[in-house]
Amino acid sequence: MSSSEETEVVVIGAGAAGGAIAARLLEAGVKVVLLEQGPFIRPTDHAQLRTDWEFSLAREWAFDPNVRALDEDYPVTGDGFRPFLFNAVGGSTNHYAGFWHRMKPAEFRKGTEHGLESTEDWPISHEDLVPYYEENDRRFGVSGLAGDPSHPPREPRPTPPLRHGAYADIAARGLDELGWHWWPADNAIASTEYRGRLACNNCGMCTPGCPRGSLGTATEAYINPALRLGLDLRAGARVTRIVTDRSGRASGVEYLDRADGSLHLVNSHVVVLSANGIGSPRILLNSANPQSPNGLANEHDQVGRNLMLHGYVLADLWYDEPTQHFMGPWGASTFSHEFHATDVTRGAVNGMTLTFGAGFGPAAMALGGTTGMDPAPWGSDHHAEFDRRFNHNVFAALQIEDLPQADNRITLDPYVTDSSGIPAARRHYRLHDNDRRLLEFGSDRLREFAMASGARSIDLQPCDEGYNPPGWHLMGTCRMGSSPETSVVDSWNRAWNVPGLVVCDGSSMTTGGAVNPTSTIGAVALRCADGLIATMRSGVVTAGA
Amino acid sequence: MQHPSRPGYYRCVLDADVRTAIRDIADLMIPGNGSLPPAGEIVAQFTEKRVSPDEATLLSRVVRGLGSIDTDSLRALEAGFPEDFSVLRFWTYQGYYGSPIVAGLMQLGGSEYHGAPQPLGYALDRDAPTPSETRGTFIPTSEVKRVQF
Repeated sequence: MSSSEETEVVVIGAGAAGGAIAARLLEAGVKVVLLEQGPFIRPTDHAQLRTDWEFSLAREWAFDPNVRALDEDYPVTGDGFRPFLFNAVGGSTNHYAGFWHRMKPAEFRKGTEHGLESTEDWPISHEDLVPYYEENDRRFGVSGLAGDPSHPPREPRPTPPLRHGAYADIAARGLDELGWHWWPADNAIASTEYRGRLACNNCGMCTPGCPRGSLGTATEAYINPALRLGLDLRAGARVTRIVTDRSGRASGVEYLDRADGSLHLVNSHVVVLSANGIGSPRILLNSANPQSPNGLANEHDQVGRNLMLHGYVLADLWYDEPTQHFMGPWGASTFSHEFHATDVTRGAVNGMTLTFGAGFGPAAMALGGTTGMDPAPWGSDHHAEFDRRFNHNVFAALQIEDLPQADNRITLDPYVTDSSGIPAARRHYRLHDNDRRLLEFGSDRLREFAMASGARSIDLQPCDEGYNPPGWHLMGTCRMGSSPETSVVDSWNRAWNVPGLVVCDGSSMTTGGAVNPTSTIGAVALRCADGLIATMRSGVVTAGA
Repeated sequence: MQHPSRPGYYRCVLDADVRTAIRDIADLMIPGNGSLPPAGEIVAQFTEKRVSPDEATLLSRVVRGLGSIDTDSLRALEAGFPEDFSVLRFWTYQGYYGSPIVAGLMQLGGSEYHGAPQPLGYALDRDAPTPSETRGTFIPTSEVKRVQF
């Protein structure tokens, strides 16, 4: 061991949850060490500063760590979906669209509503999270428009709605024609200068990060402000295991410094695990010891189970008129919650979000748009067919709430390791029949939208054979619940049966809602931090206490 | 330290015959049209600056497997080995449209697209649309009921 030291709290993972918790604790005077296996991203690292930005998105800035295969990444073997996550200070918020939804009240009560498969109610409610949603929104500089009647009221958005290309007008036109609910989307993107960050300049591509700092990342919202207060952030720190004492209490974290391979131990009163819905169960399973041979906090074999992703069908809609799809923030101008609540006449429970927005640039359009389903032909027709695609695309996403199923899970790969020799994660996911029926229903709605909005054609990904969804949202694998038999953490994110251990990130979500989760992850993290501060002041951090 | 996405990071050298084949294939895939140039040399330069050793191995296998480089060979590859063909198409289309030369000529031809998204961004002087008629409801926590399914 190269070094051993003491702190009050060690946080694993500098993403949306870990960043929020570390900053909140530090502001309350708690001594914190924040560990992140990835690097600190510099503005000039981002791909948008070069004309080959789309190429970078397919390689070193790809969503999938198996494609990037950088030293800071770990392999995710198995099948059933494409694993999307990012290992860097700021976590996957370095690499997202910033589409910013709150879960609705009923989405916290799906156990009451139907209880299918392993669905349970959250042990907390929408109302418990409202003050934390609001604060998290302020930290991220969210843009948008309050007043959507499909949600409980919320405070005025910290910055006004973003501007968009003509694709936003096309979306509004089609949705109005159908008489469906729609609203301008909230985004974690500052539309005006905000707390020292530059306003979005509509560059058209958010997902390889934002060199201007307009995109609200965990770095911009929490980590940079905390660094100014003296946060002890250690980038390149790859956790090998969480350490427990003889009583079974979490007592610290062992990590490798990737720069030189040296091994370090940080002893702490509390360990907070925020390594995402794949990384967190992986670390718990890799922390098995003689007292916990099946992994930490896994007495009831719940760690890694109930993986949820949101079911997805992505679509390219093609128009004769110009759409300006390469202008404006990527991915979310407009959403519809016309079909968000459960309606059993669809033959399924749960609901969906329809999202409309910008597309990619010329290379992606030549290669068939976001879906890649119909590339421009090569040869003498190429230029004419390219001209019919570029500036004529609107992106749409159908996103459904998928059921938690015990067999959809993250385990350890018995053979494959990361570059430090630590066992890789293995994924297994199968779409439930309920969810497939929802996707079929939603696909028909997107076809209706295409016709109503005047599209000349629509390319719609399949939801039957060949279904291979994007795993942008990794949820449920260390879920919050009311019982250690069916969950991993309690209502304050404290691990059952492992005093001193807290797990808080997408893995904590009991159900996933039918909306993008980062806003909820941040709100739960702030609440978790407040609970931690109160508990640490009064005694031991123990689940159910 | 240089970010791995930067051109030149891998310092991989393509064999001369492979580079020539990539150039000739790209010329077949995207010929010039008077306004925009043929893809060949643009794609060859793009590829040799960015290809990793594994990708160079894959490209070498695919282009050497073609035998002759002509339209019929490419059509046969597209029909018989679509995954291999998609590798060639990926490098050709990415290389061509990732080129500042092509982006500049597109702009000269009237396109608003200007290549690298930053630092210029795009000026949008119109607010996004808002609903003229508001629709939608939600179910409060206290009113969530069991559904009959």
